[in-house]
Amino acid sequence: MTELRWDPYFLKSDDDFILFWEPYLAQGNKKILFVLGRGFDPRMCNGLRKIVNCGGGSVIDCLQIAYNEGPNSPSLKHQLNLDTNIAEYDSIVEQCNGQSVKTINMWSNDYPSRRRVGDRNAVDVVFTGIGEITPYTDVIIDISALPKGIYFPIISKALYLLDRGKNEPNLKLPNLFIFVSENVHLDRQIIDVDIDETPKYIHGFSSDLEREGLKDKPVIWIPILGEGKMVQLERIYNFVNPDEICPVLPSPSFNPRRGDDLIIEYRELLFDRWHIEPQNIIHGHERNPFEVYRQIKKTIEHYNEALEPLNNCLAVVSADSSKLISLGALLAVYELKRKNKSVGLTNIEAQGYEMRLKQGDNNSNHRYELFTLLLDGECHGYP
Amino acid sequence: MFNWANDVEKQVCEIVDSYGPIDKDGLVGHDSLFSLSLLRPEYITYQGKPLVNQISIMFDDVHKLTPTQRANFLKTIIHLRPPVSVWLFERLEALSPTETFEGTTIGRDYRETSLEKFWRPNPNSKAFERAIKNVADKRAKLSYEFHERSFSDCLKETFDAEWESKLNGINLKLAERVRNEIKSSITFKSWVKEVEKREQLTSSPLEKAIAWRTLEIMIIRAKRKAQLTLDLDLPVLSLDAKEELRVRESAELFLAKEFKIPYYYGFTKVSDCSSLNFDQFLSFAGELFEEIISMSLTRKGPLLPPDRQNQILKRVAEQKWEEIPRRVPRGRDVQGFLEALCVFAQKETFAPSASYPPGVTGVAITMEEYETLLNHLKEGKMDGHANLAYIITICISNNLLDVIPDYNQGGKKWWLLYLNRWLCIKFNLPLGYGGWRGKSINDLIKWVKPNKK
Repeated sequence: MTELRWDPYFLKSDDDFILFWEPYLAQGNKKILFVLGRGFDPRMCNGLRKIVNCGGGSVIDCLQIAYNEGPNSPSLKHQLNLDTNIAEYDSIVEQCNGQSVKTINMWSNDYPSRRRVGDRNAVDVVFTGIGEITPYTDVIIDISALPKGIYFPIISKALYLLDRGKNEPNLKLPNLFIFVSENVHLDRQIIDVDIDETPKYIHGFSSDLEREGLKDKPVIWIPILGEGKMVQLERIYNFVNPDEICPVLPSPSFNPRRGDDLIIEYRELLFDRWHIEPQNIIHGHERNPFEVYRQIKKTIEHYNEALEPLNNCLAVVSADSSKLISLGALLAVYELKRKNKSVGLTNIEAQGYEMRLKQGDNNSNHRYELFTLLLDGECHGYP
Repeated sequence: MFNWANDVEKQVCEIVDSYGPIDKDGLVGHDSLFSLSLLRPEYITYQGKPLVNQISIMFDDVHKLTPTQRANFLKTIIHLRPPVSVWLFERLEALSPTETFEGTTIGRDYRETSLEKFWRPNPNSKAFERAIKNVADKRAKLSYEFHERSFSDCLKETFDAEWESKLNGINLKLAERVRNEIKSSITFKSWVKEVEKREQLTSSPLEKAIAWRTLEIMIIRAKRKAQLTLDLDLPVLSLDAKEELRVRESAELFLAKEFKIPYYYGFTKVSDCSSLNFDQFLSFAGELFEEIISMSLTRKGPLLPPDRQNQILKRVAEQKWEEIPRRVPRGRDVQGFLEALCVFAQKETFAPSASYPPGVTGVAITMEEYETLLNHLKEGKMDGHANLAYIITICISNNLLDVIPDYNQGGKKWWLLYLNRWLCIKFNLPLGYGGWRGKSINDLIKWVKPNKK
């Protein structure tokens, strides 16, 4: 396997989160840009609250990402939850240095044949250039209340800008942190509503996959499995039309039976219909995206090596699982893409999302675990 | 040449997929479709001789272009006037205004072919049925289990002895009901005698039952007419053959509903329920095909009886209905709208006098109202009109409703929405076209659940 960009890696959670951030902020001379999504997800303000409590309030500029899913979005049903989150955000942001809002339109305006443009807009709107992040010592992107179609392009654009910035002499670049407030239980209760008919490649991760000239190349599909995603998987399968499938199961995981449960849920699809070889199954750590990244990267490189006599292969990764594990997919694809490998990251969007809490279940009794990942920064060899 | 094209494609795709600013000077690719001018028969030769006489170029999925891209693409082709024939394939997008090729003449510069019109140039056309029959029979030929029968031959259209006996019982019941109904009317007695006479000429109990049920509808119609004209003593009239023929289809449907007699069976019905769509045909025919093979393997022979065909077609339609919430945006709302439409259609279809034979399977709004709907959608309003437009758009895009724009009737132009035929199976409606009712937008809005926030 070629050299790993994120090895060693930096990942902190729970008590370690505070153990890292408190002394780090106490060093002084920090200026932080905190990017977070504006959504109904009860985890929206977890990261911001915690870092402000760690003493970072006065050095933080907040950038709130609002995304407009259109007047018919099912997410509008959760306006009350959103209002609660906004009220909490407003109370926290008072302790911060400043705040701004950027809005991403998820749809084009060309009615009636409107198209999804959320990923493209996220790339164009959030970080327009390196100048937007260089005034800061640290950029934190909290993806807890952002959909994949938004946080994948935002993170990859930030990485892209930082990578380009490294070529410019005397440019002081910020550290790039990702926050994820993880709760697998809650993730399962946020349901995609009105799933799109056709998946699409995330902007920045499609080029080779859509080329007519490469249509004859074998296609390897690596889907990260999550619960209740049968329709999504079927549609991505039809879209990708793979020659080989290597599903990723979360293992080890908080619930040791989760991998088995997923196999039971998708048994017919995986084995009876798609005829997947059991040895193709990849196990990825549920709570460590860097491990997942390593597994996916290794798999794609292995296939490229094996299929070299056939002029290599195309690889497609899809992540229909929790946010943390999905990050692993992004990191692997980003790195391979930078190395000019033919890889793509596909996603199937929904018109909106619904939170279906079970009876007796409310937001307050969920236990969240806050993770912080460092994707780029001083420890990765900044000048 | 392949490598050159591949390189150009690679560079174009990289730019489209790039996060960086576009270097306008370094742009690759071509801003016109110059290859259309290069692809001439005289340029493609083998041993000095042209390989082909004519070249056609096909562009698929044109509907996937944005409106600006599509307009530029069409303009380029028109201005280029290429020496080859160019085919453009696109799906009719819901609620999109029809665009014409500016500065061109239909028939001379371009020809528009609607697949729907191609398959159904007139209501009685069997072109689609012939095409799918050909496909199905070719597939059946490859299966030993069909015992050299064609697919359509295996879809039995006659009832077995058990059903025949049931139908004989139904016949008697209907005849008695009609006789009780007519009392002493001379006109109706002569009609009954005519049906009794015809009964002797056919051995099919289903035909006899249909004849009695047709007569029953004709009597209701005649009585209603008499009430309207206050003419209580009906003149002695013979049965109107034309009207009888029209009502016959309704009678068969009424019978099927009342006595739970199979209605959806036979190859023609399988073809009808496909709504001129090959994929849809395969979804129904595939299940019938499996059943024929299973029957053959269990030594019951390959002939599928009508009741089993009816069951299978209904089951597939039910599955498609259940899939709507999962597969279609705002699926529950779409289901609610379609259900309201189908309930309305049922009410109209199963009116005792069968006023719209064979039944109502569509609704229409005037083209003026259609324009209003379109404007609400374009302006991104969040009112009932836009909500209705959005739901209809979803229905059309997902092949749940078929559109016929600019339909002339009664001095007005209508925007006609027909139910996809599988929905007719789900709601026990007839599969024939032609029956539709005009509605106002406000009527339709009532069928749509408001989009709650």
